[in-house]
Amino acid sequence: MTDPADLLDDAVAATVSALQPTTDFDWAQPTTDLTWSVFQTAEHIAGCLIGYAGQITGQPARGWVIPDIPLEPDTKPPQAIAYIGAAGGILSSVVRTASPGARGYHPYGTSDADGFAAMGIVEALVHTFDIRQTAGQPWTLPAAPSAFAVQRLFPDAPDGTPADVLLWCTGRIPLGDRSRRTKWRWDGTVRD
Amino acid sequence: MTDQAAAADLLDVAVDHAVAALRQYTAGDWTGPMAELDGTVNETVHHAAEAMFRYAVKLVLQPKDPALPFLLSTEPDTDPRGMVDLVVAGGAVLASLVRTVSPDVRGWHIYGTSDPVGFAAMGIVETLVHTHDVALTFGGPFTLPAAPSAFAVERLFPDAPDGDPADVLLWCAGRAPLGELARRTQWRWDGTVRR
Repeated sequence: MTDPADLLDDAVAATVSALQPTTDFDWAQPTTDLTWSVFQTAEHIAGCLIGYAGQITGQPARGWVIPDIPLEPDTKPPQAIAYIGAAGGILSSVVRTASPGARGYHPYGTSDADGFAAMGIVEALVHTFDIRQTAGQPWTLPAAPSAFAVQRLFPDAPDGTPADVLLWCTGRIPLGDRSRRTKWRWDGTVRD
Repeated sequence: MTDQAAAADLLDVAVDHAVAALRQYTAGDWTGPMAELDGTVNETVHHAAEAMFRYAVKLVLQPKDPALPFLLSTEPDTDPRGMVDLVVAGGAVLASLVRTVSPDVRGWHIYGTSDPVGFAAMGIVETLVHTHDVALTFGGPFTLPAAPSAFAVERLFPDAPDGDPADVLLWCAGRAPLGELARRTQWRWDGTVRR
């Protein structure tokens, strides 16, 4: 299996390049199907990535070590994108150096370093899909990170193209005969 | 010269030591003022943790100027134990980056653009000196661990006088006199890359 930290790096690199063409779009606009603006969605991606790094290192039994990472309000989209890249680099570094026994709280199941890598991939890729949809620029998620995230977090996922399956798992699209999900959550618990 | 792995290990030692000390005071009032600094205990500890996250970000983004577009906040009701967890995480995140980034990485800092080993030393200063401040506020003793202190002094204060490393670091950071040397009222470290 490819290293989860490498897959996270691949996913974040894909996110950073996929967001570049959206910077001409008004990031104050609402994100398609979400309650956040595009700016807030980007802020959320970065906040999740660095927040997960806090969970693996701080190893809280409950709650979040780093509850919130707001960007400065006058942050421009290119800076926000750079910050997503930094947050991804921090999470992958922490995933690489975490002890195998490291556990951190998440409301969808206390998880381990590989689990938080998978969660980081989901947050980065799925919200980048959201932002590209909002900007009217359809985008395909990279296959290998998507497949890893599905395998790690959605054990009951149906077969199919990894990018499509991940988007179905997260309630973004229908998948073949399966209708779009309106409720979903991943299972980050540690696998034996 | 201390390499990155050794610098990260020393940062871990410093943070472990600081966290053990801070945990002795979690029953105290962290919303009260500091003994010798502006701001509250919460703000001081938050500052130390945030500094380490900022240094970690710098080791990825390699900024050439001050602009870092984020503000690490904590929930208004974060209790002292949560603040200590933030220090644990900040230290571990910075140590992780110090271990894994290329030695060529450079990040802007107002006291001189620095490298991974330099940012590890800065993390040590922020953690140990502010833990000293907090201990002073609560009236407890705190002895800075010798090896991380010696490393931080050697890396960041090239003109420091001789002496016990913990005492020298506290003198360098304007916290205490050192023998006949008066307490400093102005000071800054030099984080620039050594050759």
